[in-house]
Parts: sequence; C-alpha cells; structure tokens
Amino acid sequence: MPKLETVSDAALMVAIARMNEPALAEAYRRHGGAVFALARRVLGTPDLAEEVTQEVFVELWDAPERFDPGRGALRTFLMTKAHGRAVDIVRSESARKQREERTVRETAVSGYDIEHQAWDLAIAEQVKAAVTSLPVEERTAIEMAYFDGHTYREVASLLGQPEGTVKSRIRSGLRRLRTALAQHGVEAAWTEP
Amino acid sequence: MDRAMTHDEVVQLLGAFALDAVDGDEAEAIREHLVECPRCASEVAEHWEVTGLIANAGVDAPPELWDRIAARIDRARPDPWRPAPLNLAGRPSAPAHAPVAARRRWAWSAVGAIAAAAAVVVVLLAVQVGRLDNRVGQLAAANRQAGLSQAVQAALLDPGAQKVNLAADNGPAPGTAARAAVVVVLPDGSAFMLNTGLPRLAPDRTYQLWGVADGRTVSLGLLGSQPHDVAFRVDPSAPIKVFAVTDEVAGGVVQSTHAPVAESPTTT
Repeated sequence: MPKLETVSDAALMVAIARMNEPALAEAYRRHGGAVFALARRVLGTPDLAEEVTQEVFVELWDAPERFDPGRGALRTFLMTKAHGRAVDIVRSESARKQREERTVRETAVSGYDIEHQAWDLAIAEQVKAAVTSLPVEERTAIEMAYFDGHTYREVASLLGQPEGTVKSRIRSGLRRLRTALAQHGVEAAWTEP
Repeated sequence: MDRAMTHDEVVQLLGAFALDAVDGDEAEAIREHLVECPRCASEVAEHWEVTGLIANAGVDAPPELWDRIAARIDRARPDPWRPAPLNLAGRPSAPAHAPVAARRRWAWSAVGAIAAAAAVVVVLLAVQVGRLDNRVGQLAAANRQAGLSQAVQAALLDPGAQKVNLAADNGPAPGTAARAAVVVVLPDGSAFMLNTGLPRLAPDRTYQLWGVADGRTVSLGLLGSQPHDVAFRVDPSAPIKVFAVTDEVAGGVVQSTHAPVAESPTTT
C-alpha cells in the first residue's frame, strides 16, 4: 500500500477492513476533529463528545462494512453516526430539562451562529457563503434541530411556529444549501485527498 | 406511529429526519419507507452530505483521544484472519476424512440440536467467522468501486484458476438446474463469485456465500441483495470442496438454518 497519508478514503477503508490499525489512525486524523467538534457542539461538553468520538471510530473498526462507499463520503458517514449518537444522549430524559434551559439562555444571549461551525480548511468561505445566503428562518430551524438536537416539534414549540412550517423550512433550507454548495463547487467528496 | 406513513408524509419529513430531528416512531416509519423508495433514500443521502459539510469545524482531532480509541480497539480486536472454519455438523472434533455424505450435510439445522458444550465452541467460532465475513463483505464493496470487473476478467483468464459452477437448487429437476453463479478461485487464495442467475432479493435480505473445507462449513462473505461480481478470499491450504449460497437476513448470519439457493457439486 502507498503511504497512508496519500491514499483515498476508500482505500483506507479496505485497509481498516483488513485490520490495519495505522489505517484507522489515519481515518481518525482526517475526520476525528470534525466528528469531535460536531459531538461537542450538540452535547455541550467535551467529556461526552470524546465518548461519542471513541464509539464512532471503534464501530468503524468493528463493523467497517456498515460504510458503503457507493452511498457517500466517509466523512458524511462518520458525521451522521456521530450526530445520531449525540442526539440519543442529549435526548435522554435527564439531559432534556437542562438542555431546554440552556437553549432558552443561549437564544436570549446570542442567537445561533451556524457559520462559526463551518470553517474547515479550503471550503470554509464557500460553506459560509452558502449558509449566510439562507433565509434566516430556515437557518434557525436547521441550527436548532441539528446543532442542539431538538426535534422539529420542539423547534416549533420553542419558536412558536406551526410544526408543518418548521419541517418544510428544514427541508427547503437543506435543499437550498445543497444547491448553493454545488454552485460553489463544494462536494462532500472534497475530503478525499 | 400506528400506521405506515404515506409517501407524501415521509417526503415532508425527510429534512428533519436527516437532522435526527424526528420522533422515534416517525424515524422508524421513515426508515421502513426508505427501504422501498430509492427517491426518498437518495434525498436523505443528499441532506446528509450537506449536514456533513456545514458541521465541519476545522479543529484537529484530539491526539489523546486516539490513544483511548487505540486501547479500545486492541481489546475489541478479533484474531487475525485465519479460516476458523465451522464444523458443519456442529462437532468441533469431526474426523478430517469424513465420508462425502457427511461433508455434504450442511449445518442448516438449528444450534439447539447440538450438545450444549459443542454449541458453545461452535458459537464462539461462528462469531469470529461472522466478523471476518463482514469485513470480506466490506472489501467486496470497496473493490466494486475500484474496477473489480477487471480483476474478474484477469482471474477468468488465469490458467491456474479453478472455476466452479453453482446450480440453483430450485431447478426443475436434478441435473437440469440453471447455473446461478460461477466461483473462480486463484492459486493464491483470491477468489471471485460472478452472479449469472441469482434473482434480486428484497433490500432487507442478502445472499451469503459458504464453503466446505475439511468437512467444515465456512462463511465466505455477504453478497448483498443483488450481487454482481464479488471478491473474497479462501485459504489456499484448505481447498473448498463445496460452495453454496443461501438467502439470509441483511447483515448475514453466523450459521445458516436455510437450505442453499445455489450449490456446487462436490469437487475432488
């Protein structure tokens, strides 16, 4: 195998499937920071975010077949896994009340700021431009759902808006983002070296 | 959710679903829908690409966290690849030169029929084999991306290749069954299965490939619901005498309880 730093994510996954530990380390080097940052954003504490990050990469090692390269980039797969796990934790009953208080407090103090979450390397500017081009209602709904782990029903309740409005804003906002990112030439596959 | 959601109801929720922002019962109903609706599944995949991008905070992976991951996978790590074949009759100490009839007796029967002590051993082995199978399945998926068909073409032209036809077991009569698949094994142990007649399965099913070597059943990998060309490996020192394909639940099984849907004749 050529140097790990230069191979594609797909080749890394083949090596991981063959139980090549340096390949897993390289996958962690490429994507661990983003996974950890997302988990920390959703969970609000580094301790739980570290736990989620560990789970995501241990699962990648234990069950590499769950990643289907035909369905998307490795980064996307890992982020989706991390987000799902973080949301499971944040929605546990003990965390719920505390989180609602936190949300109200944060809303009061600063509002939401999606572009500060998107500064990864070369695409930072493009992603920022795409995000800031969103209508503010769509952006807020996406941020509250994705980064704070609220269901669309909770978002509707917190914003005092109809549920149908919130779910359609989330969907239309994601589609608008996709179009904007594509116009800027940004694709999830950019993570491949 | 007491009823299945309609397509239109699901479509409205696809964005929220991609953000993990639906309730559990809604998520379950949507997942069921996605299995049958490629259009909605594709839209969710697109949403996930977007969320993966906007969530990218440019921080380095914490190095100390890697140490903890490495420690955990060391403990979780299965033994390196070895055939670890299953005993087809559930007896770990079966004689190496079992008669042909016994070798052909696949372990399709339930583990419950096996003596308890032997069952424990078999299950332990089976778990390991299952994990390795999954890895083989992953390799196959990755290889598909990388021009697997070229490797298959090369294998078919290799003078040292062993080619085995698998006949569908639901054929009209013995000897007239249609050829369902072809297995090509190279001397170095790399092997391919070409689907020539296995019908497409439901998305929640998978074909699983099995081999018998030294009288023991080895799972050789998962083939997916609509296999095309699949790469796998065999142990060159333990030649596979019989290949068979079963229809299993997606994710595969460590030991099949189903009759094969396709099977090769015993080779000598």
